[in-house]
Amino acid sequence: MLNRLVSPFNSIVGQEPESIAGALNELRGFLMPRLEEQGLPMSGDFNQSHCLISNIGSPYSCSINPRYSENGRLDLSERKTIALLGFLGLRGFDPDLAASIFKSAVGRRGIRAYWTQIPEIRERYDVSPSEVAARSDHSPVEEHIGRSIKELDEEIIGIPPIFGLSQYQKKMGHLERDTGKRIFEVVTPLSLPGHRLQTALERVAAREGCRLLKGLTAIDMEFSGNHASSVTVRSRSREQRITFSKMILASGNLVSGGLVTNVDEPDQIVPPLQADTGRMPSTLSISDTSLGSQALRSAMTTGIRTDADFHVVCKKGEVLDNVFVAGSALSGFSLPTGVGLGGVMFTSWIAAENAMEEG
Amino acid sequence: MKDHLIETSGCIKCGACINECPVIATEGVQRFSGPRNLGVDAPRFLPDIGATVDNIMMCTTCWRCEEVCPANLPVPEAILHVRRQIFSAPNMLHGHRRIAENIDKYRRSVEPRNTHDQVSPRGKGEVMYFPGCIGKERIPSIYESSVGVLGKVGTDLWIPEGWVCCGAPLEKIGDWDRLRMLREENMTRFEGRGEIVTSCPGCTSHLIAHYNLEPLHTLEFLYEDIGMSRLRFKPNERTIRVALHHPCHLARTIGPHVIDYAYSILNEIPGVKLVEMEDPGACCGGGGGVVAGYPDIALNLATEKMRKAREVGAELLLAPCPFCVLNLGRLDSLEIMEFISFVNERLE
Repeated sequence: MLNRLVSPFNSIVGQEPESIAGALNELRGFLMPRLEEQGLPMSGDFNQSHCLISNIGSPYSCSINPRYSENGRLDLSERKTIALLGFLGLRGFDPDLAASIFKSAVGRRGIRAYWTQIPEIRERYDVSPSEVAARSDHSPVEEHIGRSIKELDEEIIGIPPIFGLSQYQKKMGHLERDTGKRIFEVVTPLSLPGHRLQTALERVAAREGCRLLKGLTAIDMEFSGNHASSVTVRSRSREQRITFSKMILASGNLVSGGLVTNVDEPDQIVPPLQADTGRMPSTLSISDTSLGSQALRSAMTTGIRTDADFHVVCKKGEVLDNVFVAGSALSGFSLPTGVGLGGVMFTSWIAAENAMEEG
Repeated sequence: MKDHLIETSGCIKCGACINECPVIATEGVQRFSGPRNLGVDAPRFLPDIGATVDNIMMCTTCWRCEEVCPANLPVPEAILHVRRQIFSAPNMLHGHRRIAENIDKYRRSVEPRNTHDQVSPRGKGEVMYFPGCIGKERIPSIYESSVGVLGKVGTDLWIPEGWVCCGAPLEKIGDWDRLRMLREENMTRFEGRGEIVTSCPGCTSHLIAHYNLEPLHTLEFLYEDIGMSRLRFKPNERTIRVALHHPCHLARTIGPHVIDYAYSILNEIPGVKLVEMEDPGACCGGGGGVVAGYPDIALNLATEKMRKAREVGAELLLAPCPFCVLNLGRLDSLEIMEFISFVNERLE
């Protein structure tokens, strides 16, 4: 797993895998206790070679959470029996499909899929995880899930993510205690784990003294030579100018960090910055056949151009010494291509270190 | 419609808008088919679009779908365009008809109750205050507090005599004929306006988008024009645990900077212990004409919001939006207060 993540970074950063692994450990050491404090259990008996602070949106590759996730606590070599439990009507998690992916991806047989129906939402055929999360505060729902899990013969049970940050640790703990089974989350894209992590990260950032400026769109940048002095941002209906000594442009949207693209080239790139299209981490090559359309390729692979230290590169080739880029605003860091929040956090960490080191 | 059709053609079908839609989260797609269906897909089948009227009016116009859209598509605006296209007076929902009738009768979106102006600055000062229908007629303390706060910080204020509803509720229900009529009436009353301040994010956004004016929400005016140094608060009486709701039309149509201003002000008020509820930007159900059209949906969303505030031990929930206060105030599970009213209470 480590190699899988190291390789794409290596191709962009131009550093040796060892130094990247070292930085990754630093990041883990910094984040894990702080995220734990915010309600994400991070101190489980996870296997370090499998655990990364990442979520690539896949049900089997890795997870943001070492305790309640299949790679954190679930050692597939244990040969324990595993069941996946779906909730009828819950969008985004199909245990039959997930079980077949598990089987084909990790060569593990005997993973069984089950469905249960939550009585409180019986009337509906399609609900969202957040609705289940909301309703699972009411004990009948939680009790029903617990009863369903108890009825299963398997020792380890995978359920979809249904608890928000404030209830997550408590409720998962309750379920494990009440059922006597090990329970893990099967991470599905566009669902609660991302929300939980984002909320926890924002709270950690605030506690560490960061002032978060969320929801702003950079629309222009003033610079002279290799040094930028201010950025003009749009806050929906208003425009503001922010002066800075150093800045990291970090954005985290599913595709290209929120840079809107048209068919041929990136659109809405902050002037005077340069963009790349078609550049991908080396291990995740996007071929013509794997992404069917030019528009999709363009969307997935667009990002702001940087040098090896994440300094931004302008259209005329100037490298700005006090502006850095991190996260999915970098070319090729779009979630559907398989590089997710781990890449966003890791590149932010490296960019911040570079910014601090350069005085 | 044509422009929005073109703009929304960039949809990559990722489902982010569906996953984040608060109405789907509480009601399910069986009842509400969601932003992608209504804003992106439905306009492509214009001849049959009238059939979606019951569905499309459930959107609270919270702007969350646009916020999470990787392609940055103007989905809420597309939905509002569809509402405009399918508007037909005879087919209006009962609650929406009541809004239209109130407009015809009183030139306000709600029936006037606050018949006596307790605070009535007249004349033409430097700053024009636009009270808005809910703050003036439903929760007059908002109007009184806003005028009170602006007076305390030394603003030379005036209120346009005979002002009428800005038209924001009419835009939400698709009634553009009445909307234009109100705009014309207001513009004659706004002559000599100077700077404009409003209490309502809906009014602020509407005056920007449809009047081509540049009004400030009260929070923006206090933070940007008055400045924090001129806000003097009373000494602490007792500590109170306060949660801040981020109204959709404040954070997502005026801009998220206003939420930062709100926190900056709260941090200066002695005795305020801020508690952060989960997803403070989640819609309370108060917007988009849903309170009038589908009060049950609005109540479900409000219940969820109150639950989240209680969960973190809040004793008071503040909302810088009259519509949110109106909707959340239908529940008595937690004290809810409009932001400026709280500031007025604490300001020296």
